[in-house]
Amino acid sequence: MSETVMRIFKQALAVTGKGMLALFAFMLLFFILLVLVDRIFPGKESEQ
Amino acid sequence: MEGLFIGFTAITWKQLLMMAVGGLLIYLAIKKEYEPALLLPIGFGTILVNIPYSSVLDQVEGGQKITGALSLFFRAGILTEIFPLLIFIAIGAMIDFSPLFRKPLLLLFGAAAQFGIFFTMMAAALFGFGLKEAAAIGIIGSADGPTSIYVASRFARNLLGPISVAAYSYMALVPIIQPPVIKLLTSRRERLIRMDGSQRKISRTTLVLFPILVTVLTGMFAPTAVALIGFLMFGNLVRECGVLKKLSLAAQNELASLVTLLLGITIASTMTADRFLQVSTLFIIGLGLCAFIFDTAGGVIFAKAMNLFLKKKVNPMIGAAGISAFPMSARVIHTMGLKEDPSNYLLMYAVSANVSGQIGSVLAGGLILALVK
Repeated sequence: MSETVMRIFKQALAVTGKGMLALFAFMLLFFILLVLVDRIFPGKESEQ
Repeated sequence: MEGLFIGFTAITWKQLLMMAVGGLLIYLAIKKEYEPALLLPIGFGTILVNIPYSSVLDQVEGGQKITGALSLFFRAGILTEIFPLLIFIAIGAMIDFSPLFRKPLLLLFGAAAQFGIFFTMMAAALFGFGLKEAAAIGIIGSADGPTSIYVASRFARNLLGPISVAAYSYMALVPIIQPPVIKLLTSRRERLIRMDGSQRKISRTTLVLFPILVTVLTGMFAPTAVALIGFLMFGNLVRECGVLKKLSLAAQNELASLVTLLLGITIASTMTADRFLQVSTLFIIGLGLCAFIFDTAGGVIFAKAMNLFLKKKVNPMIGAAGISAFPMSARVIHTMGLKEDPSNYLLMYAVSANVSGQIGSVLAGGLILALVK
């Protein structure tokens, strides 16, 4: 395998690590947001 | 008189082959109903652009450049990113986030099931693609056509045609791709797991605030993702605000249909023989499949891992619905659940994971844009 391919692969590996981590971090944030907003403004049976 | 036969004398076997590819896409759209809204215009457009000296593409006549309609659409709609962004408004208007509020933990599946994007990017890098091209190929795994087009138009315009075709084809093939992967990774006992949840109402304030807060939060951390997530959430706000019912319906129907039509036929302008008939196209088709397989695997394995820590276990099949192909993937999981146990209704949970997949895929697109330099 050529050096260029290995270099690009390592870059892709780094993007994968950061990307997956960031994705989970965002989803966790959204999870907290979702729970908080839902608690502050709970739904009533008459709504929707 | 000679000019009348110019098309017959100038046509090449590659162009003829591409016309056959166009015919195949039209066949799949009509006969098999594989994403007809996209594959039919792409198929017909492929025929249009492979007719020699076709006036839908830019041509030079007597030293003068004559603008072709599809070339113009490409510059105006794809290069400016307007078409995919308009589609995001339409998709946003179609999404109902309330199932997600009832089971918010399923949001995490929307992250786990994007694994195929990154895995495929690494695989594409090993096959010799440049980092940006590899990222554009990997994003097929977002299972989200507009996101694939958006990222590919930034990173690999030369690969836009095959990437779009692969993305939409595999989205249509989700019912064939996902079940064997899920079965391979789960035991029957796991597939029989029942899930409980409430059907409680979600307040309108919550549903209105959610798209605004998600946009602001994402934008503050990843400004490059604002266009993608912002247009999606704007569409959702139009839906949930309750005072724009006509606009919401127009976005879900007319806007979605018209832009999809234009998007499809414009994408076809990249399906010329010289661009499409490359070895790289075969790699892209293969890698696209790999992306969907590893998305599914990522979601299922994550759900199994979560079960190690949860008291109330999650049916791991739900993890596979964390991809963005909505509502196809949710239906697949629901049907698989019913096959194992006809009284086990997983649809509500699968839809929740599927909705989170729509956020996840758009977010993944934005992150790829931010991280790949």
